[in-house]
Amino acid sequence: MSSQSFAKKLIFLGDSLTEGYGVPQEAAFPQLIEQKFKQDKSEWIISASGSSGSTSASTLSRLKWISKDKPDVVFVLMGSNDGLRGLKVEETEKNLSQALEWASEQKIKIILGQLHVPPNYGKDYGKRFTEIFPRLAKKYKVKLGPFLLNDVAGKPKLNQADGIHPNEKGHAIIANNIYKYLKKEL
Amino acid sequence: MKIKDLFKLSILELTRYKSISLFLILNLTLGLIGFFLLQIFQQSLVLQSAERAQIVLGGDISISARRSFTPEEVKQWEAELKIEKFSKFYSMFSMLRTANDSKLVSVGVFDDNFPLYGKFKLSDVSFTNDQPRVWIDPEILDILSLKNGDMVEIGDQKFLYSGIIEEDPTRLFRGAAFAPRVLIHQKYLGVAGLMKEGSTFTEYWNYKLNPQSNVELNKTKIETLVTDPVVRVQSTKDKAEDSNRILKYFADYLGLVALVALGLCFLCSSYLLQWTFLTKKKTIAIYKTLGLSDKKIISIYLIQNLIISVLACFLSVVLVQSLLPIVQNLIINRFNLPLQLVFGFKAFSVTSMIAIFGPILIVVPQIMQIIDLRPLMLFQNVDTKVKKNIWYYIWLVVSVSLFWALAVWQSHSYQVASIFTGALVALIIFFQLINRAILVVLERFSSNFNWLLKYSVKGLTRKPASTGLVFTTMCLSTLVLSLLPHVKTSIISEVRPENASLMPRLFLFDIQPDQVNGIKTASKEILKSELELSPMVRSRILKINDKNYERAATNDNMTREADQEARSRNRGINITYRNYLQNSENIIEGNFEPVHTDSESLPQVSLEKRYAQRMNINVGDKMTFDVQGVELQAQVSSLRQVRWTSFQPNFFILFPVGVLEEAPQIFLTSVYSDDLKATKKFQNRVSNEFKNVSIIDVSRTIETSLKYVDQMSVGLQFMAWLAVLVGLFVFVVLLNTQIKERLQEMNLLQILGAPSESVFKIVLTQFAILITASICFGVLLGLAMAWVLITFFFDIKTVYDLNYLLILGSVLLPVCGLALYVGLEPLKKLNPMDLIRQQ
Repeated sequence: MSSQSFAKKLIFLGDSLTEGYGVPQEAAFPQLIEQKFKQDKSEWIISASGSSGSTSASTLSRLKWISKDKPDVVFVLMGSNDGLRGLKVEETEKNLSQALEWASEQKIKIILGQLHVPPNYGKDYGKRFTEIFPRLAKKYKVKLGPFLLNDVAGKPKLNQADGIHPNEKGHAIIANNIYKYLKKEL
Repeated sequence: MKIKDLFKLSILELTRYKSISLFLILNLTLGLIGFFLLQIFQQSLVLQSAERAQIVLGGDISISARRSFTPEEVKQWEAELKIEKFSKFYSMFSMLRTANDSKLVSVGVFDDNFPLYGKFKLSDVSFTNDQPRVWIDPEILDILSLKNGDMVEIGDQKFLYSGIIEEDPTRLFRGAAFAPRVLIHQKYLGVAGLMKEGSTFTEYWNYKLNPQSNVELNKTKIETLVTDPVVRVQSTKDKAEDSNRILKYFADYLGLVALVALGLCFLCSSYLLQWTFLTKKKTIAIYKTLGLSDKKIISIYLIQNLIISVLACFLSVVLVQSLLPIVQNLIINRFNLPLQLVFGFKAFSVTSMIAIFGPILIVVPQIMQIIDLRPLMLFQNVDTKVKKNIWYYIWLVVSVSLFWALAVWQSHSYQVASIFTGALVALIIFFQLINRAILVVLERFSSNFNWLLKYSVKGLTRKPASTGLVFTTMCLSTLVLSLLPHVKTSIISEVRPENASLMPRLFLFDIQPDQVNGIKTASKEILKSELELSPMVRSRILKINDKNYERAATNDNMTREADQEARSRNRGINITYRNYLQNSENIIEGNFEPVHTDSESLPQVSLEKRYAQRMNINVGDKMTFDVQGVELQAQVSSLRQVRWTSFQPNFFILFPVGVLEEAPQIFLTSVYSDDLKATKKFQNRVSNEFKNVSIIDVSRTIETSLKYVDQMSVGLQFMAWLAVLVGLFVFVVLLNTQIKERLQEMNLLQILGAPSESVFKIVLTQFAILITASICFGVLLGLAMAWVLITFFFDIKTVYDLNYLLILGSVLLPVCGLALYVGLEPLKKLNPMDLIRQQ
């Protein structure tokens, strides 16, 4: 029996940030975290399911898709595109709720990533959007992960020309931050 | 002999051959009018396109980035520019809130100087900073139910709704956008609190440069100074090129038509000059007998040509000036084309130069014949031929090179000019060879014909050079007649759907698989139509033929281009699956596999042709994809040509069904309907029942761009008909000169006792052979050339205009008949004395 049989699996479920939009796959933060866990000889196997442009509406169906891989933990990073497209926060919350409800029924452990919208979307929308995540984490008793783009958002040197997607350096910082968090939580 | 005497002699000579001189002047004038008008039309259109590009860009040069520029950066590039005026502005997304609702909008934050070219057309209140005001796109007016005087919130600031944006010059070719546009003044950007750490926005610095500035050179300088790959430097040229594929098609087409007209003008002039030379050669021989030196005879000949060219040029300028208001009126009022025709100095000077000095270059072979002409020829009935010595070939090379240089000037492209000149030379050689072949066949079989037919054929085969010249020129003019309208039809069919119902009103995306049936039902119930939804699967290409496809972009010193190349490879790609081809697609290489059933073999995918070329992927190559964590291999089985302007959801990579159905996917679709009310109802139902589905109203975008396409189509039509007229004119001129050439011979035949009906039949047979052969070969080659041009130069699908071919036939036949009837009229009045007089 190989050592992998005892391995635990964590899957990042997200959008273009998780997909590593604009950077080579091996430079995207999930792959960097996977390397770090490998170096640590950790029992955790890290993989990613990122789909550029996806909104919270696809969370449930995609969660069902990746559940075939029997993950122990799914790090849900869905909702950025809802915010960037100015979708109703109630709708985003409803979509994520459905996914978390289903995960809870299936006994899949979830970490819900905190997300924010850029300040130019206005205080009111920004506040209502940000509040979704702690509320859902509390309601479904799941862990609330840190904001993915901490130390990266709004820093031109760490982002690509579009000002939204991190470049290789940005992904490296995200990987460090998330790795530290995961090391503590897993 | 002084130059004054040479002039006198030249004028005397021109007066002596009054009818020929007038004929030549008239022919040249008519040709030049066509060429002048084409030049004016093309340059006016190019000028208007350039002005449009300035308006769309909002300046001559635009420097932008999704970050703030430092004062040092701005100072650095401004030191390189001669600035007349500048405007700094921002664009960002934000939420616009009313008392009851909120909506994502794209906020344009402008200063007083914007736009540097063109102007906003705003309803109610013009752009001002007297108080915080907002102007919005009409499509959100209904959604938000706003009235004048209502207050809305953007960021931390309340703005007074002050009207709708009726026309935004910067969005002439705006693509489908996530959010409607609103305008606010820059004065209120700070208080709105939109620019904070973490804000996403684009900062623009637009410049109107001193008119003497070389925009492209300035752009290159700035690109060298600002090395950060995230900074985008755009000039009007880039905007004209990338803002609209349609504009590129039109510009290329205009260049092509002008080139064709130019080529025809030269060919026609060359033929006419040779023809008049043959008429005058005996006079030249007499001059020689009387002791006039070659130098002086050549001077007289050149002066005559110069006088003819100058007169023709002068006449054409006068006529064009008088015709221009009529054409202008026709274009604006009849065709509704907002184009200001300008008879600019450039069009005038260049065309006049070509008109005056072109014939002097073309006259070289005749000058060589003057040198070779011996007085003895006065008593011999021999044809003078150009000696093909070194000077002849030098002249040939110089002429072709000059024509190539003119083609470069017209098309702004070495490649296009070389292909065009090469094709013209190849066609001339080809038509000459065809002519020889036809003459050989006719000669061989003529012994079987009756004497009348035999004599007719002899008339053609006896002068192979003359027949060859006329056959080639006729073929080329017919080729033009048959070529251009197909190019025009193909371009229009590429960019313009045939009817309104093929134009989408809405684009829907982010449709989840479980929402597909609901949206289809809504469409069936409200729009009474079946909606076709395209699945979209997100993937990354990992390998092509086992070689890594993605590129690292970690080096800080990467060039802008290298960075963009790496980013585009790493960006992932949307793929789809279908078991059929849409009507906007056709396979151009390999085979399309609709269904993948054999799990042992690789799925066979189809790639869009240009994408495959860009990525250097060929049929048979193996591609490895990552479909959201699952590795998938496929083989390229076909390349497709895709009509991107079809308004249908099109994809670079198409999978067969049976592979991707289980993969996470979303669906997208476009909604077509003539019924605006039903479309609105459908839109409301979808946004109420399927709140995550993003709906983009593209009606206005498409209407604006189609209005432009329609206007340009009229322009294309106009240009095509002008070129056709030039072609037709050349055709008729050739017929006429050929008839004149035969009058003397026919007169002799009549003197020898041939009945006038037989003489008439002989000439008619000769022309029937010439016309039929040249029309057949011209039309066939025209169709073939149209295919080559459309496929390889324009890179679009060929659509033949069969109606036009019918019209061409019904115009060409009566025109030829009429030209023959009028031209052969002198045959009926032939007098033996004419023969003696002409001798």
